[in-house]
Amino acid sequence: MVMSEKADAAGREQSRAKPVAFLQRYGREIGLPIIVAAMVGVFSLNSDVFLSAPNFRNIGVSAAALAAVSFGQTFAILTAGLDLSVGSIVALVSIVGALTMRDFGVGAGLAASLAAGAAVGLVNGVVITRFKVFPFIATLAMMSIVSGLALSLSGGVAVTGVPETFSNLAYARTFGIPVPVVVAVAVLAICFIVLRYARLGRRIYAIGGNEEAARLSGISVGTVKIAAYVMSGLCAAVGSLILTARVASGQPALGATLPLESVAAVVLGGVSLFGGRGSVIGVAFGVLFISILSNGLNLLNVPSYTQMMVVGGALILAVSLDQIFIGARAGKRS
Amino acid sequence: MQRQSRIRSNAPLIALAAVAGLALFAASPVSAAEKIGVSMPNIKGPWFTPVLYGISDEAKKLGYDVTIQDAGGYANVDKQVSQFSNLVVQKVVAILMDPANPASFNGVVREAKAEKIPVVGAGSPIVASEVEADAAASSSHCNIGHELAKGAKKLLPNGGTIAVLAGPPGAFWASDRLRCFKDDLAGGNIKIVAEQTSEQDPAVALSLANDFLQRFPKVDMLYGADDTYGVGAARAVQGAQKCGKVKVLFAVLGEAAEEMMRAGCADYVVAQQPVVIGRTAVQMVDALVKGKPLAAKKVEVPLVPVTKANLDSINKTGMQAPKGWTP
Repeated sequence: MVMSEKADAAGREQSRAKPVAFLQRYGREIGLPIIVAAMVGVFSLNSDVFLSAPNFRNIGVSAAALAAVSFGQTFAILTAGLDLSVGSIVALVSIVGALTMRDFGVGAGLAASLAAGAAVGLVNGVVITRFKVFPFIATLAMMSIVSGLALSLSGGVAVTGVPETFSNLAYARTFGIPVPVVVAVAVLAICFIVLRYARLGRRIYAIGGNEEAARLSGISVGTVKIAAYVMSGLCAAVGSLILTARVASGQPALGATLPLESVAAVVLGGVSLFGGRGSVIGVAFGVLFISILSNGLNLLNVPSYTQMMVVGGALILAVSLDQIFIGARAGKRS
Repeated sequence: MQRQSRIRSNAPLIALAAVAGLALFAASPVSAAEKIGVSMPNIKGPWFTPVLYGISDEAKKLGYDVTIQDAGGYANVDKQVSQFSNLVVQKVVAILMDPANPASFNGVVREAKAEKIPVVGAGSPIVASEVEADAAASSSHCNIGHELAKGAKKLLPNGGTIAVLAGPPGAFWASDRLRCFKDDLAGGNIKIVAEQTSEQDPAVALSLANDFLQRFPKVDMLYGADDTYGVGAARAVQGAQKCGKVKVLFAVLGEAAEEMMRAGCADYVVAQQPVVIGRTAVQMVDALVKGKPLAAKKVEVPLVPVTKANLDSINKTGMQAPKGWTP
């Protein structure tokens, strides 16, 4: 009888321990999707229009540029770096793209935009690796330089005359899905493949995990880091093209909030600020979290000052959770 | 130890509850009244606060709810465009807006028109560069520039030099004001010796004005695109103990501007009537929603030149929100 009670208690303990262990092991990965789903539920219950196709299209279009920029930011952060210049890259690319499209057509504009984004990323990478400037300082300085360049090129005013064939893309749909969302998903797929299956991706994780070990194993750390910042610049250029089409003009101050929002999305998505850990799929959920939260709070007519507090609080919560799970895993290993 | 482990294992649930709690805490009760959407590039400061007061107060009188969307600054054009789309999705009865840059709003304003949602300028005569507004209540930015030029000529009848705090980079309202100001001064004996754009922040304006006073110690006048810049300039003049010697002129009469004028450090203000603009815009929306004819599709709310001499005699109810009112 006593034996049987003990066995029952052990069984109960084991069955309780299983979900706990599961949460400890996978909580970080499944936590954000669950929270996003819960937010959708909460907002659906409180707003008549939240759960509608037009609203989801709206969320998708609003999130597309942030998504592209955040996927690029992931490359920089995975190397234990940071790219604060993404906002000014968006502004510069917007001006370069609009001026080139106006004078030489859409194809040339797209090429010039991507080249401009990659060029700024290349300079970032070179400054960080060759001149040994901390990523925070290097990209902060580039933010100022590139922002000034965008304002100089445009004379501080918007560049109009962007071809309609380009600007209409922001409002066009493919199989009912807005084109900006399709573009963002394509960027996600490319980033996922590069990080998961390409040599560059594996090397980025290796450098972020332990730079010295990566160097000793023969990885050219400088080259890989430069490639990561070029990817960040390219993705920011794609984000800029999405925004430029949406606002149908080149804007010298476009993307001002993107550096912080993209870092927030990456951190919320579970990428470690110390590098080497996290996935671009998680970042996609980070972007969804920010975009859905912002949209839902707008639909509920929450004052913008309150929204700022809610978004900041959510970010602290996410990082705290990250620390809790890191602690939980470390505890389990020891 | 056990307690810590329990907290860790419950972390996702804590997060879930926290987010749900935050959202529910933040949510405001949904009202059955018809809703007017308001899309602004910014909602703080001596211009937007009284515009929003005029809108909110008039809407309340006419029985509408108001949803205000704040893009957080002129630089966030893309955010304002997204927020405008949000209002279209909400199927508000009309949208009042002051675009950060009209060239950026053609697509979304067309979307609103397709949904039969009237778009009315509140503080701007235009809502998009290629799509006409259904109505608008504003002061012409170019006329503000002309009025500022008149003020400059009055303050400097024998000519002189001006340093210009031109407003936020890329803001069309600031460039329109300055363009018309310059047009009126062209060929005269008043010369612009310096011109800088900067963030719309009183501290930034103050340090820019200080730099101007250092670089051009004999400058006769500082120009401010609005009272954020003007008050910054006036405080710099006050700090340099040059009130009255270096003249300060700008647009918009907020409380701080009034204070600086009483101190003798602000000399000429082209006051707009933002409360009247907000009220008029809502009255236009009401007429459009009810299918009534509009007396005029575009209403230009008069400007009021203010100096220390008429500061106490003018009616300020159309210029400033009641003390302590916030959007």
